[in-house]
This record gives sequence, structure tokens and C-alpha cells, in this order.
Amino acid sequence: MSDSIIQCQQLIPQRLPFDYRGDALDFRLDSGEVACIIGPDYAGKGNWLRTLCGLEDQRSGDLFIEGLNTMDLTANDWTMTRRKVAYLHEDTALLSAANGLMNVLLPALYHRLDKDLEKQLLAEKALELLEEIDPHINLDDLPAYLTKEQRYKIAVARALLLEPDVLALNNPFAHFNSEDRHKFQAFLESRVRQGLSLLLVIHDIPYALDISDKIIFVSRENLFCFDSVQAMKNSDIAMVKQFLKLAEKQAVR
Amino acid sequence: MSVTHTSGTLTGWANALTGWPGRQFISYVSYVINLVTFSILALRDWFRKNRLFDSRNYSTTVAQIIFTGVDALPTITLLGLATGFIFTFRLISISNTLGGTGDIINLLVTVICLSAGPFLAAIIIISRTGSAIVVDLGNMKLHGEIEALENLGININDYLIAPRIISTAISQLAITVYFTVIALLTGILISAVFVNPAHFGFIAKISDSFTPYMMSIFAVKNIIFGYVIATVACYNGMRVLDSATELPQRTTASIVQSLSFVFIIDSLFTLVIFV
Repeated sequence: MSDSIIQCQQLIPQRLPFDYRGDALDFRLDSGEVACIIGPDYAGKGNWLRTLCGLEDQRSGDLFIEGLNTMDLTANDWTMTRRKVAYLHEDTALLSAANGLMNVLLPALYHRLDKDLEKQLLAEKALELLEEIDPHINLDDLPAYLTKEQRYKIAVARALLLEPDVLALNNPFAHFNSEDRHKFQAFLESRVRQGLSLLLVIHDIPYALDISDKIIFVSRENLFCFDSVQAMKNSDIAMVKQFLKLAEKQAVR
Repeated sequence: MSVTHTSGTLTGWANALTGWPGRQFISYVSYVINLVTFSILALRDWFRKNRLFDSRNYSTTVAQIIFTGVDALPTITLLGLATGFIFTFRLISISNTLGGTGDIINLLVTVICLSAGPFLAAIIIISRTGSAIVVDLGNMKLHGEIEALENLGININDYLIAPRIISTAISQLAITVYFTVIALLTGILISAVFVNPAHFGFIAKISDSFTPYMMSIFAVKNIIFGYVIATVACYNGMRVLDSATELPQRTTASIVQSLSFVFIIDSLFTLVIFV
């Protein structure tokens, strides 16, 4: 249990917006692994992701983040889990009163990362990170003057500066054009090679199949957890097969 | 049938009428309990993690002090000058008619320092800072900024609420000291220049009349005013949920509630000190 970053047994989210009677989730995410949650629209994928991150209550089951049961977290444990499992959705808000750079730095300063690293060095680290994500963002601008894509990239940099073990992204490419999407995907992959784990809810199925080590297929009726992409492709489950076929057709179009 | 219906309605009316004061009282009491709990939790989280001025909340605290205290100085100066002219000057200039100098000094200290000063400063802070805090926090909630901060492990009580409460309490005290000094000095200077140069002596006499007891009452009263105004504002700001229409509603509620609390606290202080 201690090796996995996120592990759950018999997990079902509390806040699914429909009456779910399917199977519970048994799942573990290790360091440097990529797991994608895919499935039809309105299947509650976001709820599953938020529950796996410990942000929503579970109806049943146990969830362990960094070996800690999320039902028994102290205030300090909660702070630590939030740093270690960074969750972002496509419209994650920045602080409207702070410019781009301050938005990235503020959480790190709050968590006193400048204790280990001088404030100047922390700022340099933030700048390097932003340079790596997108060198064209004007960091002096307030969020209101940035595009949605730029705001999202700043939010990702803000989360990564806290050095999380898992980056959980809900619909991460919603605001990207094709070229920027590829650049951002390359950035994420470079982070994975450095040991970051990714937990994604995405609608780009070919990309999910390309990048994933594990796949969770979620529908309103049931869920299926696959330990590899091949296992999913070889699956006999009609619902999964049908979904993959449909996704393939959409990709060809 | 109709009689039964009428009597039922009458009973209902009677119940509603007699129950209304009780329900109102319970809702006021529970509101005060909520406010107290809210502020205690905010301060608990602050003191659990910080020294009084901690580097990670330093910017929030200082920004709030600058907004509440420093930016309000022009308005406070104007009010202080006007109060000095209207009250201090008039009282000093009629001191011979009213009686001894001691009575006038007592009157000045009571009216300007312990009543008008804190009260006017509180009204300025309610209208400027209180409303700004509600709009600021309310907008942050509406736009998901607070949720995003919480998701990054940031304690909102510690990062957003407590600095605003502490800064507003400090600013209220500082602003009232400033207002009182301006209001007293203006009146004394005008009366000394235009009526009698001997009135300069009022400066020393008023300074002497400030006992430690008076000063502690002055400090405690202002700190409580600032604390309550900021708590009410933060509480209302955090109660904004999903709709933008809640923002003006909460702002109005905050102003009215703060004013009511300031009146009630002022009355209680008057009761304790002078009765």
C-alpha cells in the first residue's frame, strides 16, 4: 500500500448525478504511471476523478492517498494530500487580483517552499516551469487579460511548483488548438518521464490509448478497470467495444 | 365546515403571531453564534500556523491595512476637521458659559474620543472596507478562486479570513486615534487663534485626562468594532454561493448587520462605563 500514490478498494463516489448500481472501483496508481478515465458523456467521469483525488466523499469503499486513508485525515494530512495530488479542471480559476507569476508563486509561498529554497530561487524555478510550458505568456498580466489556454497553463504551473506526485486533470485540452495541444502533451509526457503520475479525464480517446498505462472505462451502468490498453482492446465487453468503435470513427472524421 | 376552517385559520394566525418574536429571537441568536464560531475558527487556524505577522500572509494583511487604514485617511481627515470645527471648537468657545474647564474636557473626551471617533471611523470602515470585503470574497467564491485555492491545500480561514479580521481591527484603532487627534487639535487650534490663545492649554489638559482606564476602554472598543465589522463582512462574503445576484444582497446585509452590531456594542459600552 505504501508504494502506491493512490489506491482504492470498492470505491463508489457519493455525488454521482444518477443512481449508479454498477461495480465499485479497485484501482492503484503508482509513481510515473498514467491512468485515463474515459467513457460516454454524462457518465460521471468528473465525479470519479474528484473522488479518486479525495475531493468528493465516497458512498462506499476505502481510498488511500500516499498510504493515508482519506476518511482519517488530520488537517495537516489534508494539506499534504492536496499538495501531493494536484487536481485541475479545464476552467480552474486563478486569483484575479494577482498577476500570472504571483499566481504561480503564492501557493508555494503559502506552503513555505521558500524555506527550503530561497524566494529568489523559487521565483526562478517558477519562471523555468512557465518557460517550459509556454514561453509566450505575459506574466505581468492579470488573469482577466489572458486567454483561457494561458490561464490553464498558469494553473498547471501553479500546481506543479508544489511538486505533486499526481497531476489529476479533468478535460485538460478543452481550450487548446491542435498545435498547442501537441506541445502541452509533450510537456506532460516529459514530466511523466521524470516520475510524475497523471490521472486524466479526457475525450481524446486515441491519445488516451496512446499514453495510458491503465484505463478506467466509466458509464452510467457500470465501470471497468483495465491494467493495460491492450487489455481494454482485447476486452469482450460490448459496451467498451462499441465505445472504442465510435471513438475510432470520430478520430477518422 | 366553514367554522372549522375559520377557527383553524385563526389558530394558525394566532400561532404565527405569537411564535414570530420567538422565531426571530432564535434566528438572531443562532446568527450571532454562527458569527462567533466563524471568527473563532478563522483565528484558531491563523494562530495554529502563524506568528502574528507571518511571511505567507504578510501581503494579505498589509494590503488590507493599507486599504482600510491608509487609503481611508483623506476621508477621515476631512471628517476630523469638520468634527473639530463643529464640536470641539464650539464646545471650547462656549466653555465660559457652560462651566468649568474640567467639565468641557470631560465632555470632549467622552464625546469625541469615546463616542464620535470610534463611531464615525466604524461607519467609514463599514461603508468602505466591509462592503469591499464582501464583494472581494463573494466574487472569489463565484469565480471558483476559493475552491481552486482549497484544492491546493490552502486554508481559507488562515489565508483570507483571519488576515482581514485582524487587519481591520488594527486599522479601526489606528483610524480612530488619527481622527480623534485631528478633531481635537483642529478645534483647539481654531479656538486658540480666533477666540483666546489660552485655549492652547486644552492640549495638555486633555492629554492629562487620558487615564490608562480610558485608554484601554478606547482601544478595546475600537478593536471590537473592527473585529465585528470584518467578521460580518467575511461571513457574508463566504455565504455567496452560485448566483451573482447574491453579491449585492450579501453586501447590503453586511452593511446593515454591521451597523446594527456597532450600535448595540456602543450601547453596551455606554451602559458598562457610564451607568
